[in-house]
Amino acid sequence: MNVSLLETVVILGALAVIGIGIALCALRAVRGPSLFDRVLAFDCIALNAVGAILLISILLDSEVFMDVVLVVALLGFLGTIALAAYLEGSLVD
Amino acid sequence: MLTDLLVVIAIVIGTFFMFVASLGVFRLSDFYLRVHAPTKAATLGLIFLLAAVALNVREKTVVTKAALALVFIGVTAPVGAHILTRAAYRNGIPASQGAQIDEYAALVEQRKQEPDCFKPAAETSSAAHTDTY
Repeated sequence: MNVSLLETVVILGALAVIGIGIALCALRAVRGPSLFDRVLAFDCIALNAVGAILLISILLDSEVFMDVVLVVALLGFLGTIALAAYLEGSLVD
Repeated sequence: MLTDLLVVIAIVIGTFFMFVASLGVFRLSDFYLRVHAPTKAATLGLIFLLAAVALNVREKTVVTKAALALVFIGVTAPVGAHILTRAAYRNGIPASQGAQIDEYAALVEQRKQEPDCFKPAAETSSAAHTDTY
């Protein structure tokens, strides 16, 4: 299961596009205007990072990155929930 | 060879949706519009990217982990967006001018008048969350 030339080119281009997406989310995190927009941009950056890790795992033809995908997705969700709970005051109604 | 082509197609579609999600976070005009861009589009993009990984390797462990990640992301993304949006609404983040229907406002008004109407009678102490962000 070698990675073909077509796959390599497509994956590198896709990584560049996801990098642009992370930059757009980071711009939103810098610009604000409210703290909730920053939390949302952080969540979007975490999802984009998961996508980039998946692309890298195809590019390197390796299986170990699937564990990283699970952990990063879990930590991104946990961060969003914790920040939202902190901003709201309490999660329980 | 056919699977290579399928993997490439899945990568292109998934990357497109991930980029649309990031563009929505950057471009849209209102917090409540912005919050739905990564929730739906990024989830769809990750579904395609996970399918690409599973098609590329085709082993039991990798396919199982990809399915697990898919279920996990599909469950957690709407929950996170819901909690974040509810916190934003209760902190008074304004919607844009075009928004007309606000069905949650009546419920919030009712809660302000009788704060404990949705609680069991025992835990009425922590009623007021007057924090500002």
